[in-house]
Amino acid sequence: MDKKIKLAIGLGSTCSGCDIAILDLNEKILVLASLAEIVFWPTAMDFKLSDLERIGKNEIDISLQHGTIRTSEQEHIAHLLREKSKVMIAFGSCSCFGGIPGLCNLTSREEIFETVYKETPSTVNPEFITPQTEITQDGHDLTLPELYDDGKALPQIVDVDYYLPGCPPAVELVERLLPIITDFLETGELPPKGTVIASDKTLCDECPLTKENKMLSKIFRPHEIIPDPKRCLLEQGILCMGPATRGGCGSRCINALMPCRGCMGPTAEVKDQGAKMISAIASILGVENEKDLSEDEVEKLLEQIKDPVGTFYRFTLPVALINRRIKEGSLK
Amino acid sequence: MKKVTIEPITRLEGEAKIDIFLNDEGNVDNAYFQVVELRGFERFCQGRPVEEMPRITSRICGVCPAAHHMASSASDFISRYV
Repeated sequence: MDKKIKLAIGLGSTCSGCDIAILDLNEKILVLASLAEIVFWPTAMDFKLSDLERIGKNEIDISLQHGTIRTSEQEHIAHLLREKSKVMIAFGSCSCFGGIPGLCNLTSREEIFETVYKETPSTVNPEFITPQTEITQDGHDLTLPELYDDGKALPQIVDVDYYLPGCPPAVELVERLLPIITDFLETGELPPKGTVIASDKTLCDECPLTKENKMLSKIFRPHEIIPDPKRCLLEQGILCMGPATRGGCGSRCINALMPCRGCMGPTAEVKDQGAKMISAIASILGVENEKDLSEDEVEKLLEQIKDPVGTFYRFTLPVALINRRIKEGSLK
Repeated sequence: MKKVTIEPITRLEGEAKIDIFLNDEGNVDNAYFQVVELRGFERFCQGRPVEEMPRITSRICGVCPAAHHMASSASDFISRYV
């Protein structure tokens, strides 16, 4: 095709698994190359920040941004991409919901510095030197971006048009971008704003395992049980985020008999993925003899759930209704 | 004195920049490699169940997730059997 769109791929705080997910298009990367002129993609090509700054307003057709927003520089890149792009897509779970780096909201910048630059066994740093935004070293002025106390999802920083979740996004979902780009090139038409490029159903609706509508009395940690490979993992007592998670991932974890951890985020009608999961568990855990249970016994049942916040909000803590640990003194 | 900044360093996972300072003769006076991000896995992994580590720490790097997956699997094994 002669006409090409201008495509930018920017990054926040990321593992770059999202870049690999794009490269995992394999031979279809050639289709992408025939449809799009890449104008910014520092992970894969030699672009500098100044290249992005030089691009004019709305000159980029589609930009994808992956990664959590953790630093002033990442926020700057998000604003630049938004200003210069007609369409902006939050790509991957970090960008859509905050992702795993968003678990930093359970701690603080100071605690992270304390652990990383002081406590880890391999660290020797007697003066406890930590990153500073500005320093002068041997007469040279050096700057670093500011590390924020919180991790944020892209839509908490800029207006986002579409979402493509997954950690990393499944190749079959990344492939769905190709017809969207083709349609845009040929007709100028785009999907409705807010579209999530994934399934509209929950993972349970697509799960290959069999549900028997059994109630739950004991919760197993994944290493405490060898699951029946044909039966629903949650009904076997293994916490699985399927009921609260959007499908479309191809049930990758389930196919390896590992429970879902919710990287696709919630479905459209759910505001808070963790709260939805808590409600799903509450409706099956110990309900058979719920009336006869004392408060202590209920407490014991719940104690079987190790690390509820890290499990139910593994990928969505920054966009949750309660999205960070309350800081000491903040209630005063 | 002239300063040359390479920002960002490209074609790798991780975010960094290099500041190169040139003296009046145009020779390199000093160069600084700076890592411009920090996520804090070391801290926020604390309090998470050990068996979850393979699927959390593999997100340290999406280019080499297998290395982190295997290393944390080993820590899981060690914590339970040693």
